[in-house]
Amino acid sequence: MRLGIDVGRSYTDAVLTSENGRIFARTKSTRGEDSVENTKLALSTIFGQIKGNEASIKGIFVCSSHIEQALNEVERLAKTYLVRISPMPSILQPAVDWPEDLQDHIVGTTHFSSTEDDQEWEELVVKIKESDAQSIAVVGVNSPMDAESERRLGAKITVKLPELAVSLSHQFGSIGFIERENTTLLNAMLRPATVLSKNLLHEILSDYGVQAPVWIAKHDGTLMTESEALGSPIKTIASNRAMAFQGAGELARLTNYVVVNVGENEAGVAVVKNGKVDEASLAMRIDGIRTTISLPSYEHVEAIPERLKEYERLDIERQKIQHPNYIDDFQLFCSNVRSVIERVQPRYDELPIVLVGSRSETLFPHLESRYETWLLPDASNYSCAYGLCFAMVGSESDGIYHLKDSSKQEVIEREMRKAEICLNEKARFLIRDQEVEEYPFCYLDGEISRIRVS
Amino acid sequence: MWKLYKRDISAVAIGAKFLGCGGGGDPFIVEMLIKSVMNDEESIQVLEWQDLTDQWIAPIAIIGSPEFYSEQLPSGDEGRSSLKLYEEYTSTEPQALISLEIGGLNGISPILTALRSRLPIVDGDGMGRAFPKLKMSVLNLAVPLTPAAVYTHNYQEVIDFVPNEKASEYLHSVVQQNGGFAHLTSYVGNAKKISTAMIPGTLTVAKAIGEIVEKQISASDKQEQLQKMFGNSIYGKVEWILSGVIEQVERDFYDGVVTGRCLVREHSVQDYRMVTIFFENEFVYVASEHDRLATTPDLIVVCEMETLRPLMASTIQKGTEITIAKVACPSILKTEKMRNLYKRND
Repeated sequence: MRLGIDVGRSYTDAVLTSENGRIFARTKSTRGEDSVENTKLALSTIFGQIKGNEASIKGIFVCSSHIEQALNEVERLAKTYLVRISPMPSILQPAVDWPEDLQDHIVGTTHFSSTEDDQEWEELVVKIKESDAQSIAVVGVNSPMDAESERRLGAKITVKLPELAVSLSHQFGSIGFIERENTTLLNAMLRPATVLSKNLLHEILSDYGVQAPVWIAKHDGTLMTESEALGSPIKTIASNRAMAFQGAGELARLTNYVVVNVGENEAGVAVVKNGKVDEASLAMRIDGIRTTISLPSYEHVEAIPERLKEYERLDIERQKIQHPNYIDDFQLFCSNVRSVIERVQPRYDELPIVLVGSRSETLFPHLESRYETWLLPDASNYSCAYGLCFAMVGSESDGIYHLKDSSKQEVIEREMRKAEICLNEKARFLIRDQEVEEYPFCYLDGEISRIRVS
Repeated sequence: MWKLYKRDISAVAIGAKFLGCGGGGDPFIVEMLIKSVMNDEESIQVLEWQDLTDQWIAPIAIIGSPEFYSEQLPSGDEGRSSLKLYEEYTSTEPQALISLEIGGLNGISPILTALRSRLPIVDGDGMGRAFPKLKMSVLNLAVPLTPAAVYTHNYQEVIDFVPNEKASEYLHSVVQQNGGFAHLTSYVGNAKKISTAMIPGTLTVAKAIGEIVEKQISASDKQEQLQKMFGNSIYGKVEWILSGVIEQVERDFYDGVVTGRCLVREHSVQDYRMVTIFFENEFVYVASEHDRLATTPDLIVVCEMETLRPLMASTIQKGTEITIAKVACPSILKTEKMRNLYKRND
């Protein structure tokens, strides 16, 4: 059996499924704003239903929005010290156009010209100690090409100051110094919060005597190991959204479809092809900050806040007289959703439309039309938790290569093998969906290419 | 004469990206560098066409790969160093700076140098857009390219007495061997000469574009305002060719530039077109199955559909919803003399 847990801001969904997709138990707990209480409640309900069978749970899949929450509750973020490795200092300030309250969490910046220089190193250690930092971000120039100096400095810091969490920028791939630095800084700030929630989860699980590997959902709708998630919490951002889109396909047994995820006061519309949502863009913004994390691409339709809840209770015809405004807002929302769907539908081979999310049942009768295939799968409001149970483990490698000595094909194959090895170490799964993207550069001797394999 | 403040920098950066037609590099990193060192009260003097009398004007540019520039963590003073190199060699002191191309990163890189060396900047540029080869600047019609001071962290040189075409090739090889980018002071000349060839008012246009694009209004209102704004500038008419979604992107590397094309499906209820956009660093050509819709030197701008924020040719992705605009270029770019400069491999 597999257990999928979707932790949102004000709810926790848990779904227990068999290997072939049958749902044994499901629960939704919405006890106020406390996600810890919600999770505890959801798990106790699930485990209450399968008493004695806890050992048959083979995997626990978690998708959490606590990163988004942590970014909103700024005081929970860690004080971070930034170390830059580059041949010469720059006038560039870190986090230039960040929101001010986030900026304040950077407690110091040091420019490091060489990892060999002992004097510089001693000074750095003193400065870090004085700054009262809890987390370190190390960003090296050219690290997607050569991460050696970053790794060396990271290891040195870990040996000297073991209580600090170190984030290295090459883990977040991609060219563009500022974007990489932003991602690394955000990641560094988020790390302590992640450790807390990990401990909490294990506490709850051990209370019930469950011992199964835990997998965490990533921003692109794939899974990663728990240790990877601890090191790079920023990768869990927007994973709820990606999972809900993919879960819709699992619930409806489709691989190509349009999905409408209806939340409490908004709807997201996305096109899924071959079980994968397109990525939005290379330079994505998190809270207005440019980063290297690519988020799922979807269209957002907003309802008048807090109103969707009301419609459930409305008898549309009768209420037309009593609350004309509600109805107008509601119908406007429906027609907005419909026009977005129309826009994203491919011209030929129209895709079926799957409705999921907490308010999908309310909306379904008002959206459905006979000209298209509309589906409201069973358990549609558990699509994220359900999708988790069947998501793939993802591995990505993004680097920049000189194509002087080897052909492009050779490099791609080498990278593919690397990604495969990563996967194989994690688990013996079927490997599918290999994607290769290429971004050539101009103006350098010999061809240089950025190659991204996922 | 007007003044440029820190609060205007974002708008100019967006405008420069817009006028870059998908090429010329993302001005983002220079924008961040400027914001790092500029105070809220500080301002840079901007000289308009009528303010140009007898000044000695230096165009400043970053040449090479913008991707490498943004990866190398620039110190921020490379432009000034290149200018100094030029000053020492020629024993002259330029009194104002100008952008060599308003499109992309070079649209705002002279602002950083102007700020660091406390010089005014000219409202205008040497191309009105972004362009791939140094010899293609309109300044070529008025002043020689050399002496040109090229500065990289490990290589500095002033080249002189070389014909424009040779110099352009030579600089290309210097860049290739020295980390992929360099700072260059070239086409320096007297205001009397520069002002006859330069495209005037482009800094104002860039700022206006940025201000319109960042307004909290609908895309169609933005389109209307942009149309009006371009109507009152040196550029010609704006045509909104179509809105659609990118279905496919192909990129390749050919003869030192990123070339490729992307396929766009038009959003429309009844009738729809498939349109192909070709790019060579910049977007150069838009065609439907039967028609040619736009070609360079007219400006082909690809924007996000919802926000009208401009997109780069090097990072456009499948699935993005876009609007394609064609802006008629300043008429000087269509003259016989300029056409001769565009010819490749000669």
